[in-house]
Amino acid sequence: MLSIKFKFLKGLICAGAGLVSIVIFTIGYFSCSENRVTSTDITSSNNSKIIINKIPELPWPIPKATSYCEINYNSLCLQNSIPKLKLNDINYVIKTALESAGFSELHYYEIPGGFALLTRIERFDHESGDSAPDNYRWTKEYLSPKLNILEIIKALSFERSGYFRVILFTITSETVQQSNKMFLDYNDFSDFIGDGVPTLPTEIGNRNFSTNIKCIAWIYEFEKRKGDANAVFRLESTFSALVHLCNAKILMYLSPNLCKRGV
Amino acid sequence: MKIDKKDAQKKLIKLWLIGSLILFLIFLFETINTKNYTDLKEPWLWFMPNIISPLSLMIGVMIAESTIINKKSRTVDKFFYTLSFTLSFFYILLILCTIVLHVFVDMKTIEFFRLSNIWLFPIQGLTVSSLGVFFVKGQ
Repeated sequence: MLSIKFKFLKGLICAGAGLVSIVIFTIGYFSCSENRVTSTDITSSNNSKIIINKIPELPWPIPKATSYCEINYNSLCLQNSIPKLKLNDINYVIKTALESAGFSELHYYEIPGGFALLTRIERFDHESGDSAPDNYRWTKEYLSPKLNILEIIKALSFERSGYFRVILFTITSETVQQSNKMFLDYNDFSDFIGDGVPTLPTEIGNRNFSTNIKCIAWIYEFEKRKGDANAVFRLESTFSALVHLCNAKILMYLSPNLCKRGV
Repeated sequence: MKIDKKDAQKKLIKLWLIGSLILFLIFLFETINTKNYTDLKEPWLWFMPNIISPLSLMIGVMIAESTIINKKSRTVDKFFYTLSFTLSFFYILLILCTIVLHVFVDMKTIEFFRLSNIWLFPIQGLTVSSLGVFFVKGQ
């Protein structure tokens, strides 16, 4: 009876040891395979071409925007006829218009079927929709009124807000969908979007353009109230996307005719 | 130097009424200028006690005194009158500064108003005490 019990105990110990070795082997195998992947990555990262062409992907579907509008290619000031166009040409037109309107530090992202271009956060006037004067156009800090009676009277209120916008251009043949995820504030938005690259990689730029590719401008509006730390996302706006593009003077360089009709 | 108590009371009440009216109109303007209605209640809850308490004390006593038939004129030291007038003026000016200058501060308006109690309470205490000479003493 005692020997049976001893045998059973011995068997149990053996089974336990076997189980432990299986677990150790499995953990070892996976950690080795992780290392293997890492070493492959190191090999690929030695190849400079791969690094240059690496472009961050924009979260897909894109974040929910305040407003949006499609920009018709026929109204753009394009140098070549549509069949000869490449994505680089479209990028050149949009980038030049943005730079002429004072936007710098553009961010490029890869999206299915094309690319996306994101502008820096810009302060705008809530009543007119115009870009704020250059000296505080790019600052998110609270602005106290200038020391003249009119400015102070205008600012006399229990609340005061600064309004900001970010414009995202998507140039893609795919249908762009907006996600249901709502952003609380700009920090939340920029964390989600991540950093893009400053130029469009040639690999994407050399792709041929087709009429299936649509250019859509997505406007993300933010409001920073007096005393708040962050600029809160605004789902609704008093301005349409077209008015935003016109008043930010982007459309004036991109498509003067569309701008005249839009305002 | 002595001053007639009734005259002193009238001058002080005039100062407070004019000051309060100016403050009230500025506050009303700020209310109209505020688009978010949820931000309105608390500033008014802060504003009212700062003005209404001294004003209601003065008007209450003035009305009570007017009902007493007493032809005998009383006098008070002019120093007390000057002190009360100066403190009242300074207190009203401080409230005016608080409700105008908050636009320069990156802080929620109501938080700034609550903070202002640090400098308003001591002056309010002194002002109300000095007003007591005219509106409470001798009742």
